[in-house]
Formats: sequence, structure tokens, C-alpha cells
Amino acid sequence: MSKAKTICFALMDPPFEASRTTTALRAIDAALRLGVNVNVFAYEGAVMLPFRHQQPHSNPVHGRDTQEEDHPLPREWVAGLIRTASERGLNFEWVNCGMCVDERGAGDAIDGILRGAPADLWRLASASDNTLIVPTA
Amino acid sequence: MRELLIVETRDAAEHRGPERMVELAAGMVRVGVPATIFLTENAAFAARHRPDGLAASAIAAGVAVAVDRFALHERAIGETELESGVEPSSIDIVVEHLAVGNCVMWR
Repeated sequence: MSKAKTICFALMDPPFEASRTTTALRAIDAALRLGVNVNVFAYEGAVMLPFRHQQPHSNPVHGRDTQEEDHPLPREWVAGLIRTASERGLNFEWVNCGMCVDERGAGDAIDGILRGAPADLWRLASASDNTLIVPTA
Repeated sequence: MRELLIVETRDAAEHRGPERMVELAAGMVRVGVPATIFLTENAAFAARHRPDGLAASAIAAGVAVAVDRFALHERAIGETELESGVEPSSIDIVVEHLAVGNCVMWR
């Protein structure tokens, strides 16, 4: 990939529910590591992925405290993507659908997340070389 | 359309959808569009050797079949268990197809 491309991903699934969230975030991470600029449009439950107040928890059933359980948090994965893009000098724009945010009270996202509207999917896709829609299961 | 990549996530033992995706990919090959199916998540089970299985059907129809090494590892599926012709791959395959302008469908 000699010239930096831009790929747009549209995500729909909420965190902590489906494998495809992890798979989609792996694909986004792969894009950044291959030197590709990334646009993300998150809508419906996916606007909760970068929600700032996600918290790790213990697992009393297995007798593990919070540190031992080391519960993965999608907000940290998203922060990792932002960090990877910054380290590599790539453009990374994550837009949460504002209507979906309001429905879910998800306005308090981690730093670097933008609030937008459904029309931003068109804007981001138009500004990208290709787009992948990751639909809900 | 230059090429088609289908990202299949569903277990073929539980859904009819993956079978339909093989039919779609085979149809694209017949009209001259190279097609690849990338098996990930529970679709990785279909990468195992079975004479009448999904992977064997796709390969016989001229469809390239790749499987996510990450998904194989999660499910303790060894590469020696794979159908002949199935290529273990990283998720980079999705990015590589997108970056050159191919059509990528996520199922």
C-alpha cells in the first residue's frame, strides 16, 4: 500500500454482547497497522463502545478480584485505536450518531470521540476509498 | 466489481446463511468475478475437513476460502484439521481487499 488509503467502518453492535464487536475492532486495528487512515461511524448500540463510565468488575463466582479478573473494556480498546493512529501519523475519526447517543444517555464518551448525525455516515464514506458496513447479527 | 470478499461469521451448523453465501460466491465466480470467503468467529468451524462440507463445496466451485487464525486458536482448531485448500489468514485480508477497492460483505 504505497499511498495512504482511507477506509470507513460503520459499526452497529453494542459492547459486551457480540463477537463481531471484537472482530470489527481487530479489523480497524489491522487497518491502522497497515498504514490506512480510518473513519468510523458508530450508530445504535455501538455508540456505547467509547462510553467513558464503563468499569471493570470482580468475578465473585470464580473468586477473582477486579485486578485478577482484568475485565476488558471496549472504551480502552477504542482509546488504543486512537493512540495507534496518533503514533503512526494517521487520520482517525470516530463519529457517534447523536440521536443514538441521546437515546442511550451515552454522551460522556472518552476524549477524541465526535458527536454527529446520520448524514455523517455519508460524509465519512464519501471521503473514504472504501466502506465496510458491519451489521448487527 | 473487481473481486468479492465475504466475511462469514455464522456457524454453518446453526444457520443456513453460510450455505447461501457459498452459492452467491460460486455464482460470482461463474460470471467472472473472483470471490473469497473469509471464515471468522463461529464460521471457523466450517473450515474443518468434511467431504460434503461448506469449505469443500466452495473450493470445488472455484471460490477461495480463508480462515481467521485468531478464530481457529480461540476454538482450539488445529491447521491440520482444515479442509485441503483452506488458507489460514490474519484479519489483514479484510483490510487488503478494502484498500484495493474490492466489494466486502460482512455476514
